Amino acid sequence: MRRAWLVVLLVFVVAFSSAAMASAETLIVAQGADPVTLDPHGQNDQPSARVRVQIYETLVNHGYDLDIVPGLAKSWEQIDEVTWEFKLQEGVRFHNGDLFTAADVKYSFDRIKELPSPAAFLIDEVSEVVVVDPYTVQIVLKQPFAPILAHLAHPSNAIVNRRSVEEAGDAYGTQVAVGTGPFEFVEWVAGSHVELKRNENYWGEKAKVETLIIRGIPENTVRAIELETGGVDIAYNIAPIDELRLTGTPGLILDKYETLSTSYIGFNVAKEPFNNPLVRQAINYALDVDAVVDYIYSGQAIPVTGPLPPLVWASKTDLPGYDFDPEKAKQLLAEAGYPNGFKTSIWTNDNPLRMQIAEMFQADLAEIGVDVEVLIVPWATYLEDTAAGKHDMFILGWVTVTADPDYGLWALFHSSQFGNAGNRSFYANPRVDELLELGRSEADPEKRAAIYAEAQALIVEDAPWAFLIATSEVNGLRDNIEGFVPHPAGHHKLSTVVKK
Amino acid sequence: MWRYILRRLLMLIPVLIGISIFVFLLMYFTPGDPALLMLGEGAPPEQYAALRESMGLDDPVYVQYFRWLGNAVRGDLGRSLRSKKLVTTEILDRLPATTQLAVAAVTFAVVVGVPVGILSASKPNSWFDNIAMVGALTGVGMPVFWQGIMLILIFSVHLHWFPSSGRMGGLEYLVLPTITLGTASTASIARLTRSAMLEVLQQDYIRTARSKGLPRRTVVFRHALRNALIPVVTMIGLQFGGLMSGAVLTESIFAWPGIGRMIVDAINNKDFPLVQGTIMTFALIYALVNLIIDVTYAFLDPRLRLVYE
Repeated sequence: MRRAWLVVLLVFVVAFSSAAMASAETLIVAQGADPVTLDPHGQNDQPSARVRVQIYETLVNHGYDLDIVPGLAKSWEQIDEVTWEFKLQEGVRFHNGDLFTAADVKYSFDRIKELPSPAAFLIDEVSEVVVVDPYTVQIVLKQPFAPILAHLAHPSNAIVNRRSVEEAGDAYGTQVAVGTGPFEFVEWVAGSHVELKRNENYWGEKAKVETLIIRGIPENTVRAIELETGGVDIAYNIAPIDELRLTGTPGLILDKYETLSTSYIGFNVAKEPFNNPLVRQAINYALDVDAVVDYIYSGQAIPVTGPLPPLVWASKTDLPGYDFDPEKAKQLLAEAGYPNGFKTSIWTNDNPLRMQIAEMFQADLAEIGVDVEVLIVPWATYLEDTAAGKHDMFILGWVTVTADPDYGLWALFHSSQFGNAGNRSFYANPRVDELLELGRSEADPEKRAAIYAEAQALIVEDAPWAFLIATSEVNGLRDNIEGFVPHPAGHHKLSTVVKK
Repeated sequence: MWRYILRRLLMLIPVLIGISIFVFLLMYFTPGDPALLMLGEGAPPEQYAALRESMGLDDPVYVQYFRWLGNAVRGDLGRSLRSKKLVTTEILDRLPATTQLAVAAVTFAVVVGVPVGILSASKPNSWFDNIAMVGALTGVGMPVFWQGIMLILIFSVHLHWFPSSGRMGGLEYLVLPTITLGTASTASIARLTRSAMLEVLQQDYIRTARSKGLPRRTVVFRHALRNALIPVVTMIGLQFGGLMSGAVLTESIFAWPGIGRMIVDAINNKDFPLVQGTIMTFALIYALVNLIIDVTYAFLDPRLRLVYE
């Protein structure tokens, strides 16, 4: 009897011990959530985009230093103020064998507008797409719009194949996904992983690995452990606490990169006492942002002095900003008529990092006599109620996905964008409005840079936000992985990755 | 017997309708706007209005409910607001993983819990009994999250015996989630088996059996166990229902592609049709498991068969 148990136990251990070592031709990547849909015109979420950029392509791309480089369009020119003409790559085939032509471009953009895709706002300024010949297409705008190329580079503006979309019907995006990219869709096991294989007929440089598996592992610690145990080759978004633990682990590389994301505290400038710029400036002086970077982000962030993350090309990083200076803060509060401070509240959702920031700033502000209540509000309510202006102060982030200053400023500071559109601080400055309008219509990059420099300086002076940080992210890689280049927007392309 | 089963099945209908109304209202009155969540920040107001209309969110709540109910009775639970997949497809995609995990966890709990309970009861207050019952208390009290991470640290990181997460292939992926999910049930079942056995072992007929000179093993297994098992079977049924719907934490820790993780995401995104459909599925499973348990009694205790006739 006893021996029988021992045998059973042995068989169990031998049979189940994890021997599933992935081969050098299979790259396994883990991210923090499952994709929602592989239809690029479906949801506009990061986990989906991270899979889709392997399958689909856009007319133009953001290079790794965020300049605009050719994609499915090999060249382009601006014909007049509102017309852009694109020459397309010839001989490109979709994964189903169909030839890629200008008709696919028109179909894709029409589809984005008709659905509408949640990211349709990115091409709001496009009035129509005109097929000139099979390899020439014109994009006609409603009015001059300088950042159009940056918008076309967004993964949500990927080109799809009409026949596949129509044949698949409702199965498109979950069981069928056909693009022109370096990887082809194989299968999606719901809740587990997406499997892709190398596109052997890819028009550009072919992918280095044969099979690409992208898994969703929601628990940060477990994702890090999977990397540590070799269950995955690359793990995205290693949390600060796991970064500390994994640093120095043999066989692992921790790769930190700057992103296009910022976190900020917004003031409701429509409400007292935040309608007084002195109060807003005082709070900017009172916050110890370096401490947030050190203790909450463990270095996975950098302090910023203005509204744009430094990676955005027109970002003005030499603005004086607000140093940590509680004395100056007290002085400004007294000047504003609040020598003894006041009572207020700060809103955050249940994001643990944001909750910690709120608590730290609660302590900072107590030092200058401002009594802050921290309110933790569920995400859905949070968006709704801050849009309605029910808040005093709130913590939120913004990702300048197009890497263009227009995207990073327009929705947040233009007075036409109050509420849900993005301007949750209800900030309005006629000169800033004017500059932001000029900035999106001016074609010359140098003039645009000057326009945005002035706008940023004004915004910093008016201080509708407390300017906090631009975040970094850490990817973990096994040391046999080469050729991985992180993309600042977070959707890393994996065709160049080699597994030794 | 069959009439009894049929009657129980018919009683399911009002129960399910009641649950559906309750869940519908709950989702309706929870703050947060699904259209807003779908669009995220920075979307223009016209697009938001169009989306709300296309989702039917502007209709009164009873119109929305009856539209849902009308479709549901025809087997159409609608589409997920986010992925646009059929809710039935979403559920069927995820149900096998959850069922597999729940069955494995219950099996684990029974295979470990029942023998431990019997052994403890047959030698109460022995060292085995004391260790087992302290272990059971610990098992009930241990946070799932902590236990899961500890198992991963020991068996994946240090010993390399089992993979730490996912369901990427063979049964080796099932081991750690099963233990994590099954521990609390194992402990409850062990404790219940022990107390039920202790009670039965003091009955007169057991004394009779012993005094007849029957071997100890026969007395315990043939005479006592069968009677002690009735509350245990009830417990197993309840545990199974709970494990099906309560595997949320375990599924999250181990990135197990089950229904628990799906419903948490669905609730966070206010994906009404998906939440509604999933909870109805849970309710149905729970009710069916209870029915099966009730029928099982008849096999354990012939006296109960009369009640069902």
